[in-house]
Amino acid sequence: MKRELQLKVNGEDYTLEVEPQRTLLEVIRNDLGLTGTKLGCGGGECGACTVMLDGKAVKSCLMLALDAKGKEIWTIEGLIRGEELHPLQRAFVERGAIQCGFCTPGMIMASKALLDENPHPSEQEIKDALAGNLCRCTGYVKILEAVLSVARAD
Amino acid sequence: MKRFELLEPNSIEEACRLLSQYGEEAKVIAGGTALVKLMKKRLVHPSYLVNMKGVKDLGFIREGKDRLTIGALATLREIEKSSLVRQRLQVVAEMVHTIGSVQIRNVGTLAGNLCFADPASDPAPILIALGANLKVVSLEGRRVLPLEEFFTDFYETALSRDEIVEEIQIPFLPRGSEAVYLKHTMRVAFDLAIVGVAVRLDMSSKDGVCMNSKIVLGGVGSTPVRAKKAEGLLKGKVLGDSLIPEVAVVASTEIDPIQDVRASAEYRREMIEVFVERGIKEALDRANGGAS
Repeated sequence: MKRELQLKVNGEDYTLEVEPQRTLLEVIRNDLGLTGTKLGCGGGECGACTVMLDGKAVKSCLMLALDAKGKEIWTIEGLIRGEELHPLQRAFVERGAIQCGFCTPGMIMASKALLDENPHPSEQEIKDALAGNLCRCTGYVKILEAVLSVARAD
Repeated sequence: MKRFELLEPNSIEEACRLLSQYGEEAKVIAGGTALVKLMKKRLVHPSYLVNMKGVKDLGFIREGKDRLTIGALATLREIEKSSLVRQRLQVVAEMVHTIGSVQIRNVGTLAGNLCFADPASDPAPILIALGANLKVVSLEGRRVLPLEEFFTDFYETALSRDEIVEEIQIPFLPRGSEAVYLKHTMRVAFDLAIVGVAVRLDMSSKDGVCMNSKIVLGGVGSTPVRAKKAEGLLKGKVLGDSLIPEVAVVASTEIDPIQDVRASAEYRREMIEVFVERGIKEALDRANGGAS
């Protein structure tokens, strides 16, 4: 039986009708059309589905959409300001922290949740925050460098 | 995922009533990080989910006279970051930090981890070593259950059908007592324990003798297990450099480890020896005011 679900995603309010068995990831991608958030493993291991829920990084593939009722969600699509990339997005591009790009939205959302809470994390704190995000192309050195460059920017 | 009906009680008593009404067809969900994964794989397919998140005032972390009390909806991340937990039971904060990833800890709960009863659960061994209890609620009322008696088999607990964990009670360590939790994994991050070892030493402040100990192992059997023979060898002794390795050997022989995808039984046995030795040494160091 469908239930009403009110969400705020990237600053916009939505009212949807959702079946209880649908995950937050499915709703973000299929109902809202925000396909920047990726389905990787679907089991909470890879982090490609990471979004911010009330400021905290969560794996949207393991969350029932109805559990996000009334919450504020940010996805990768919400970071750009007009034509200007978010500093984390710019750093990932400039430092070559992207190859195929599939893990990148999750990496950036997990990094953003960290920097919002702790603007100047240590290298170890960044590694801890990204431990739940897998990249199968670049290795993690450039990703770490990209986040560090933003953490040390101001 | 298969279709199910989501039930959203406002109180823990109402949740018990729903469990009693729907029986085996219902499951309790809190964070959902373990359950949703199993449901997606169709390993479990409940017809009803009893969602606890609408129950108010279960997210607390409280300090009592002699113990810490953690509500069933407190997330792992809240526990890890709590200054109260860090000050009063740092070993619990350290252990929680090794579970899953930040994204999982932001959502998953300690009570959920225990009720899921994965034999490789990290909280289980150390909380048993600390003498933790669970307060559980059913339609008949409340009872307090030692965590040591909670786990009955792989993914099975002593909870009856309509019982729900309300809070976890963790006694503070008395002066002279120390505890550590060591976890052996293949990767540094985001792995389940091949062997998880909790060691708790109660040292006499007068003569440096070990009055009591608990050695609790996770990931090696269908439930967490205590190495009671090894514990017995520590009792009443000054823990010297020759005794500790001997005790570790006894621990590794008294346990009959499982074999699974993560490791063979032989390898687990070797690692029990290594990590029990390290655990005793580290707990002793801490008791002697060393690395904390």
